[in-house]
Order: sequence, then structure tokens, then C-alpha cells
Amino acid sequence: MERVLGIDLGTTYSCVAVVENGAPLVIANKGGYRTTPSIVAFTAGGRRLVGHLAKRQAITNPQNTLFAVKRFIGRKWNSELVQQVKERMPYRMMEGPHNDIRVQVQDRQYSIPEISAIVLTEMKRVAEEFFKAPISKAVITCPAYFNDGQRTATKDAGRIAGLDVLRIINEPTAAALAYGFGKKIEKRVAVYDLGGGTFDISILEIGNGVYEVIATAGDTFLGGEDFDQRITDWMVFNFAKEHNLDPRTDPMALQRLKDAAEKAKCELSFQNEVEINLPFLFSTGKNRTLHFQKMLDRKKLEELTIDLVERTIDICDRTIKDAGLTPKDISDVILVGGQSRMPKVQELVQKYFGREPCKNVHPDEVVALGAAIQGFALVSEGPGKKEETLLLDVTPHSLGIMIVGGYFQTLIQKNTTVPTSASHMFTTVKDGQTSARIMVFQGESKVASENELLGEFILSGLREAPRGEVEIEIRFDISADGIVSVSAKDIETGRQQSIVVTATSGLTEDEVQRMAEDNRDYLLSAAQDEEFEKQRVQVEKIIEEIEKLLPGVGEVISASRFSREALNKAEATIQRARLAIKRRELNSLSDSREGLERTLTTFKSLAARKG
Amino acid sequence: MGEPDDIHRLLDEGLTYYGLGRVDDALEVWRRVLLLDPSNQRAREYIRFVQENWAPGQTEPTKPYRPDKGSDPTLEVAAFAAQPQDAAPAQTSPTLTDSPPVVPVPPAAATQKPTSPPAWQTQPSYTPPARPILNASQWGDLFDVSSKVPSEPLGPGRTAPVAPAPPPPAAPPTPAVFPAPPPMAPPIVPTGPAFAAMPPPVPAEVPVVDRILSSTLPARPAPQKPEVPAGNSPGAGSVDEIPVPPALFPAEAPATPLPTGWSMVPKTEPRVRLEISQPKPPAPPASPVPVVNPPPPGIPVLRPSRPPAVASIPPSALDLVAGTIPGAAVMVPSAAESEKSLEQMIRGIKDLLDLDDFTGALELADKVLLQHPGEARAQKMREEAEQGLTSILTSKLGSLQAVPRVRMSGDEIIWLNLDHRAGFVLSLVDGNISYDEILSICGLPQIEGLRILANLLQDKVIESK
Repeated sequence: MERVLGIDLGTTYSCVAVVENGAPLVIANKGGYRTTPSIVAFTAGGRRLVGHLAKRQAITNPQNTLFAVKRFIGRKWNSELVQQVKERMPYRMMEGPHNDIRVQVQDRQYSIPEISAIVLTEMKRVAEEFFKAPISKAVITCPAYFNDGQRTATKDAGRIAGLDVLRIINEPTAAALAYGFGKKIEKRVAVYDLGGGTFDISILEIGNGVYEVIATAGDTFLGGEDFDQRITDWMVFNFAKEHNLDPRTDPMALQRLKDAAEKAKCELSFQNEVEINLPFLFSTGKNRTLHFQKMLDRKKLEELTIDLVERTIDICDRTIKDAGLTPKDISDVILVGGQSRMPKVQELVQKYFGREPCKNVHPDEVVALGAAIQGFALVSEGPGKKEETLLLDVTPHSLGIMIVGGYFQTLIQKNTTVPTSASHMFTTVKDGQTSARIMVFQGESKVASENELLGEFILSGLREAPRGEVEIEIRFDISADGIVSVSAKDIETGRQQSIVVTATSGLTEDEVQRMAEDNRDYLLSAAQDEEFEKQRVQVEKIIEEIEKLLPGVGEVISASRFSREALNKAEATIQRARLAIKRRELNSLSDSREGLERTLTTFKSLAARKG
Repeated sequence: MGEPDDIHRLLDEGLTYYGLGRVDDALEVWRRVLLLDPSNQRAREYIRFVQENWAPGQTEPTKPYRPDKGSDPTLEVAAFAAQPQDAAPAQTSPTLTDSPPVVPVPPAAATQKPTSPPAWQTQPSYTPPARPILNASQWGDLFDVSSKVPSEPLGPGRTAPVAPAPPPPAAPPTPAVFPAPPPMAPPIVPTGPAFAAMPPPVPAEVPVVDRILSSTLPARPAPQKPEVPAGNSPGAGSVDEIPVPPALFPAEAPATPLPTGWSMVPKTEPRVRLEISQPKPPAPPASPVPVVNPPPPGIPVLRPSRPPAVASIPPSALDLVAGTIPGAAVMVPSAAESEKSLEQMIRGIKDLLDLDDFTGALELADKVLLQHPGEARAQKMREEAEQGLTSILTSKLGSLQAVPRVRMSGDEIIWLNLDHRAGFVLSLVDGNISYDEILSICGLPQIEGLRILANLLQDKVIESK
């Protein structure tokens, strides 16, 4: 059966899993890490870095390091969030041709799905290297509050990465899937997801293999990075107190401080105190280099970050109340996201929900595992296999149309389980009105223009009549895939117009195709470079061996049937190989290698004969 | 382009080092002269003489030296005092065999321990110092001279040199955090035959020039105190208190011939008087580097502005001799001179490349490109130098695909002599990523990254897996 990747495309970290032999399995990357930073960087030499390498140079190469792009995926350039955040990002953001967002890196502009695609490509590569086989199908997760545009953009990112995206599923749903894998449970669970950059709380009903998100909320700017920042600030303060110098003025020092802060934070989840030791951190400019060495204990960390943890509990409280529930109605709490490993977080969650959080799922991996399980279910063969796991998602936002006065009339409330449908009757507002413009919006504001416009169409051919006489039925249908159809029907004449709201990621089909092609080209070129480097190292080693043997072999040759010509031939082969290295010609290098290997074998036998 | 004053001063400084037996230092200074003026015959002659006549383990040249038109570096110091500057020293100088030994090693000095401050106190910049020009066969030592810890203990005939420019002894950087230093390993000393005849080390807090002057020169004629009023030097100590070889203090500054294309504004007072008559500057802040006197009112400043040739040496006796006191004269290079200097520097880069001195060639090419952006020849030669240097450094690392790991413990690392950039690069070595990847993410120019990694590998701080 074909493998399907389950990819948790996170704001700060991503993770890939596959169901293998019936069990979900997280795949570690080359460095042995089971999660990979969702960071892409471009070096001055034009090299593309992804993951840990990109993260470790993020501060020293800020303009060309793209992180947390998930916050912008599928968003419009003129959206409030983008306008607020763009100035805070070290990389350059600009408006794209379709009111989408582009980032400028060196001399090229990238769309946000393209950047996410680079991360997805890396996750795909990790899995392919592990299985030593190509994998093209995937299920990708996204936050429950993502709208259609954001989901489509995520799907586009997958396509650019060369993936056939079978399904986009909600992260809390995926977490619950992993939690319920292999069990027969009927529970109402809370998924507390405190990741690197965002916090989400979702309430799910699980029963008879049905996973239904009944409420979701969160904070898109609250996550593990805020905790790291508090530790970094503490380190900077202590350094400044001791030396009267601000180490943040040196990007290298700041990079080390941030790395050390994250490391210390992780270690403090398992031990009570850590030593932060950063030798040769900061140059005074007066021939002195200063060190940073300090102990940080768990108590201090909690003191520095307690307000952040409390904020998450406040959001939990609001969400549960909005869903008409109390903490006691929650049967289990699933912790997701690396930051949820912090003991203080677990303590406060336990205190709020009145029960110990579930410990049998890995916070960093549970979402990817759930996605892999869903992917496995989607491609499983045999009767009834696909129905074994039914995912019921909710609409993250209210859906409706604009009515007279510019107000927003909600037809489908947020957190309504999909698939769903709703209809409402409207009338004309002017005498003799023969057409009506139907504008479909998504959002929570009472003013339509403050919500997101999904699409519009005109219902024409209405009967001429005084205002209020003509009745029009507006109907919304949302399929299980989240596709929204809106129709308007003149009740009297039966005339009907409808649209399918096709969410746009901000990219046209042509653009997606072109980007996918560019990505393929890059991968091909990178693979060739890698092969060239491998060959180069091997060829240089052979040349070195031949050159070592040359003097001794020269003596043997002069006394044997081999002529000087043979020696010249060997030297010419070496020259050809060197030229191929200089010109970076892979084919030529491969050809030379064969000749060199033959030469080396001959020389070795001659050297052995000599002595 | 360097100014003639600088060149004279550096030539003299090299001679002083040479006179003290510090041949490597002398070579280094003369090499700096070549960077400023690649066609300088005197510097070339001196370097050639030293390279040809100083063999390992020797305390004096293997043969008397009769230069074609220059002079024996050792003897020129003496000749300088005895004759007007414009006289040809080679014609009147005695040969080396006629002279007493240059600098005999005092018996006590042979076993004396060096007094340089420990590495953790000074933390000098990681940038390798300028190197003397080496033959092609010597390039292997290009990067290890200054940072190598001697494998054999210092003993008779191997005395540690004085640190190049030690700041005043400083407290450990973080006394509250770090424990007291353990007994130090042998200090960092250059290795090589030239150091066999070193004078005894002097306390580190004495500024370099004063240290040079306070070293006795037994082979020299008896010192004659020059007519120098007190309070002339802004550095530590007064010239009056120092036994000065007369060669370094002529009563009148020697007439320095100006290069073609330069003009000098007539000055109203003798140059020596200019500085001496300055009011003493206000007490300098507590800085290890003495502050240079501001030019006196009414005296125009030298143009083009001159970078300090030796950053840590305060203007002192040598400056008086060389006439490098700011404010002494105004010299403006003409366009023709600028063109000429470009050609000289281009020739200099080529010479350095021919000598496989890629570091020097790179530095000089950068200098040319700074003054003449886009100069095609300099650009090309710079690439060549960079390629050569990259090749050398890469070969030191072995394969760039190799993965390094830290070999020392954190407690050992803290006692190393690294700068913050090396500290940063070292922090990237985690046993998982290759040299190539480290170079990609360290944010430093590739040459710099390679140099740091090569040094860390050589000093056994890291090792390839």
C-alpha cells in the first residue's frame, strides 16, 4: 500500500510521520531530530538552508532568514494582522500581484506558499531518505481557525513541494486522532496546544470513531518563543549588570544567547537547574572577550514566564465558557506542542481542568502522528476502511452575506460542524429592483466590510415589484471538504444563481505550476551539486593516492615494458580530473574517475611488485 | 598608499627589532612596509638578507652581508647615528665581521620565564598578525606561527619574546564567575630560529617602544643623551630617563626625501621641536593605548589621513626620528602619484602571489580595491589569492564534508585564547553539522570562517569525526 506522509506544518517546527506496518512512526531528520524548524534561509552564496541550519544563523542573517511564515499563509496583504506584523519581521515583505504577500530575499521574491513548500520539501526528503523510496501523497495539518484561503494556500504549498495533498486536517483533530488511535473511546477532550509560536485550545467530542471539534480558540502570538525571549532578556540583563555592556549589539552574541535560552528552557523541563555557559561571547573592542556563565533554575524560569502560562489558561476558560461547558465537562486533556512540557504549564493545566493531563502522547509528535493515521485511513483498501475514522470539523468562522446598510447577516454560526447547510429568506430593498448582489463574507463582525469577502454574484431577472415583495432564498452549503456553495433563488420565479466559493491562496494556477517547476529544478540542481561534491571528494582522494605512488612507480615503469607514455597518460588523466573539478562538470568528473581508478589499481600492483 | 614618513618609521622600527635580535618581528615590520610601498628597495633588501642569511638556531647571519646598494640592517642603525641621512651607509659601513655580536643572550635571559600576561587576561584579537613573506615551501607555517604552543619547554637559547603589544595587566574578565586560572600552559610564543637570541623579556606593562628602548644594545657605541626636553612623550615614562642609543636620537631629524609628486608645506620649527614644545595633553583616560597628541593649533593636519601603522605604539622617539608626528606637514599626492602608487601596489600583489603569500596578496588587493573600486587586475588577483588561501585552509581541514566535534571540555575551552567570532564558530560545532555547513551558517566571510576552523583544529579544540 502506498505510503502517505502525515505532516505537521507548524509555525516554528514541523514533523513528519508515516504509518508503517500498521503503526504510526515519526521520522527523524539527518541530525537525529524528530522535529525540524520551519525556517528557510538563503546564504550569500545562494545556498538554501532549511531547518536547524537555517535556525542557527537566523540572527546573523536576519534579512534572508524566513521564519513563522505560517502566520501569513493565505492572508491578504491589506489584512489587519499583516499590516501590524510586517514591520516587526526582519525580512522584507511586500504586496503581491493578487493582494497576496511576497517576501523579498536577495534578488528574488517568494510567495508565502513557496516558502512553506520549501519546508514541506524538506519533510518529504527526510521521509524519502528514510524509506529510500519516493513518497508523493500527504495529509497536512493546519490550525482549526484557518479559513478556506489559508487552507488552500497550505494545499498549494504542498503542490509546489511535489506532494499530492489528500486532505488538510485540523491540528487538534489530528492530535485527538493519535490520542484515540487503537482505542475505543467516547469522550469530550480538550487539546491544549502550546507550540513555538501559537497557542490553540480546542474541545472535541470523540465517539464511535467520529471526531468532532466543538469549539476552538487561541492566540496567534503566544508560544514557546516568548518563553525563550524572557530567558534571553534575563541573560542580557545579567550580562549588562556585570559588564555594563549590551550583548545584543552583536548579532553573533545574540544568536548564541537565543540558542542557549531555548536549550536551557528545554533542560529545565527535566531538571531543576542548568548552567548556561557561553565562553567568548562578546568582544569589548578593547582586546577582551567576555564570557557569560550563570545558573538558571526552574523557579526563576517560572517567575519569568508565569504570566504567559496564565494567559493560556484565561483563553481556555473563555473558550470552554463560550462552548457552554465547564472544566469538569472535559474528560481528558491532551497536551500538544513542545512548550506544554514545561512543568509549570502542566501544573496550571491540571489545576484548571481538575485532572492530570494525558501523558501517553508525545506533545511534539502527536499532530503528525494523527495526520499519518488519517492519511493511512484515506488510502486503506477494503470495504468500510475509509469510514473507520470520520473526521467532523467545524467552521472556524461565521458565514453570511452583506445586507442593506452594510451589515453582516450570519447564516452559519462559527463552530458549526461540517458538513452543514443553512438557508434564510431575504427581500428586495428598492421598488422595481430586478437584480440583487449577493456578497458572501466570513467573520464575526457585524459590519460586513470588516469580515473577509469570500465571493459575490448577482441574481438577476427578478420580478419588478415594490420593495419587500420579492422573496429571495439564500442557501449556504458546506461540504465535508470545507467547500462552500452559496445559492440565491427567486421563490416566485424559481430563477436561481449560485456560486461555489473557491478559496484562493493568492496564487493563480499558472503561478503554482511555475513555482512547482522551479522547486523541481532547484532540487535537481541541488542533487547534482551533492553528487558532484561526493565525486570530487572521492576523485581527490584517488589523485592523492596516485601522486603518492608516482615516484616509486616511475622507477618500476622505466625498468619494465611500460613506457614513459603510460606515465604521461596517467598524469593527463589527473589533469583532466582537476579541470573537471575546476569547471564543476559532473559528467566529465565521472569519466575521469573511472580512468583514475584504473590507474590507481595499476600503480598499486606496480608498487607491490617493487616492493 | 602609505606615506613616506610611515615607511621610514617602519623601516627604522624593523632595524631596531633586528638590532635586538627579534628577526621575525623585524621581518614583519618590513613586510608591512612592502604593503605600503611594494617597490621599497630597502625593505626588500632587508627581507632578502634575513631570509638568505639567518638559518635555524643561529644568533647571527651565516655570512657577512654586502648589499648591492642598501646596507646591512644591523649596521644601518649605527650608521644612521653617525652620518647624515643622505649619506650612503653601504659605502661607509663596516661589515658584520668587523662588528661586535649583535645581541648576545644574557645567561639569565636564557632560562627566564616569559612574563606575558596569560591568554585569558589579554584576549587579543583573533585576527592573525601580519606575517613575514615566506617562501613557497614555508606556507605551511603561515597560520601557526603566532598561535602555536611550543611542544618543548623553553630553555637555554629559546626565550619567549615580549608580547607584541600587551595592554596593561587587566583583571580577569569575569572574576566573579570564573575560578582563578590554573597554572598556565607555556605562553603563546612564535617558534623559529630567530628567537634563539631573544633579549630577556621585560615587564608587560611597559609600552612597546619604551621596552625596545630600555633594552640595552651592548654592541652599540656608548649612548649619548639627546637634547630632548622633558615631557615630550605622551606615553608612559620620559625619554630622559631611558638609556637611548644615539642612533635613535639625532639632534636634528634627518632630512627625509619626499617621493615624486608630493609637496611639503614649509614648517616654521624643526620637527623635533614641534612635538616637544606641545603642551602636555590632559591626563588620558584609563586606556591601555596611550592617546596620540592632537596637532598643535595652526599646524595643518597630514593628508591623506594615515592609518596607524602600528596601532599600539604611541608616538615616541621613533616618531620623532621618522617625522611622523601629526601636524608636521601637509602632503598631497598628485594624480600621477596616485596612478603610480596603483601600479606599484598591483606589482606588489603579483609579487606576493609569486611568493605564495596569499594573505598578504589578499590584504593588498583589498587595499587597492578600496581606493580603486572595480580595478580589474586587483580583482582578478584577489580572487586568485582567495582561491589559494581557501585551498590551503581547506587542506588543513581535510574534507569540508567532514563533521567536526568539540574535543575539549567546557572548563578547558574557557582558558583558550579565542575572540568572540571564534567563540561563535565554536558554538556551532555540535558533532552533527559539517565544516561546509558551519561555513554556510556562521555568517563570516568564507576565508575567515575557514581560518577560524583551521586554527581550532590545529589547536586541538575540535577534531573531525
